[in-house]
Amino acid sequence: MIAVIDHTYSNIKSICNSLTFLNASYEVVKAKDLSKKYSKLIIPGVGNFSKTMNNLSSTGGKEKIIEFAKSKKPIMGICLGMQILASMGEESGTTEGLNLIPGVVKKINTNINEFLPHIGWNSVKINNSHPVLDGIKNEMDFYFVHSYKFCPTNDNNTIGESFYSENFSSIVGKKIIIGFQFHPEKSQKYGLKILNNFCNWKN
Amino acid sequence: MLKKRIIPVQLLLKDRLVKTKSFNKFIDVGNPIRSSKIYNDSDADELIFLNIDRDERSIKPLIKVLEEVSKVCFMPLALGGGIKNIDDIKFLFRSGADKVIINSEIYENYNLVSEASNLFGKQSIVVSIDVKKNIESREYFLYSSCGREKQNISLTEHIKKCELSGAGEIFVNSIDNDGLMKGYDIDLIKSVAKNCNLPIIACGGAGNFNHMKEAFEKTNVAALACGSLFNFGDNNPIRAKSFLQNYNLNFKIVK
Repeated sequence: MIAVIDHTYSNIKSICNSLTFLNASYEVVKAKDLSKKYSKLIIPGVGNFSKTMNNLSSTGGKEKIIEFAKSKKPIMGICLGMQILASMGEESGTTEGLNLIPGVVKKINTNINEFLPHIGWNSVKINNSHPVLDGIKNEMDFYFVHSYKFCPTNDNNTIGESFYSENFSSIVGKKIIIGFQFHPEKSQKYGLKILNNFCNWKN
Repeated sequence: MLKKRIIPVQLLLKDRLVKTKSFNKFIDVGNPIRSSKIYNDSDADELIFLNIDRDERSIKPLIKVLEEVSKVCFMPLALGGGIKNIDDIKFLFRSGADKVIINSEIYENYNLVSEASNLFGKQSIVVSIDVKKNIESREYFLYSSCGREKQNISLTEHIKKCELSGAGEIFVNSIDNDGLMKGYDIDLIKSVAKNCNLPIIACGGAGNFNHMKEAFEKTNVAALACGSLFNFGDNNPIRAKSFLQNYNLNFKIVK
């Protein structure tokens, strides 16, 4: 059973619709209610780093997610859900993240003709093979919506890279934790393929 | 590299999809759920739904479609037409919308944009602007309420206020060119681009792929939206992209 974290303002409907479409068994839960019955965890995103982390800290959800990670069960973060895997975030002041993948979340440096948020389909260069990326070719396009980027401390935690004004990590991973800056649930066929791979991933 | 986008626009009237000419003359073009499935298969980059029912200015028709469409379309869904307040916006996001499109209400209340933008992030707030050109003065005038009410604010000032309030994208629709299939209003797109640092989605007038080529080449528009082009004739986003890729325009790769 996959747990899908419900945090206040994220659009969890689309991730749920895609899991239903893939016939995956899942439940939507608040982070504070995470328990041993779940075999995998999806942290969806959209929202503000600091608001989301403050909410997770004050409700006790933060500890629950960290505890879940210690049990060595697969975790997938999407968009903001990927960014909060970092040690620290700089959106709306400096806030501590879940610190599951060392790194800092910073604003994207844009050129004069490139606006934030970075919205739309962009290609992903895959640096390291990964079971969740099985069947995903290099330089495929996925749907992005974000203004901040995850800067991992260790280069080898960057699984995939994309370019918007600068190179940034669009897929991060460490052991059984993987994070996507783009939205697999909104990226049609290959996005669903990634989600399906995650559902079938055995560590 | 960030790709250009092609977005089919689906106009909702009661339970049906329609196409308009200059915001009037409604022609039935099918069932919204069925056509969304087809767009999902034919490689559209995003879908826009607009409730244009003048007797039903609420989000009810949008919710109905959204509940079905979000089960079968795994791409960004943007919806608008009838949004009045922050509760409407919350409800749309809860029902599976990725972006909301706000138009008429903004002229009365720019705070709606800031409030929504603060809650959901600016990436999810699209401001839609309906524009008519005065033939003699060549000046642009803004209209609300499905093109029926003329607004006094200038295009420039309105865009600036929307951007400051936290809009994430500007959807600009030419009332004059709507449904005529004679090409986009390039000057209009340029006027919008000159006044904001936001991605622009242009709509109104696409009749063939050359019209799209012209708009992509002459302006820095991020996305082109079209209705008639895909509703009438044997065209779809795959064909549009195959044509446009011959001119160094880049679209998403899914093969």
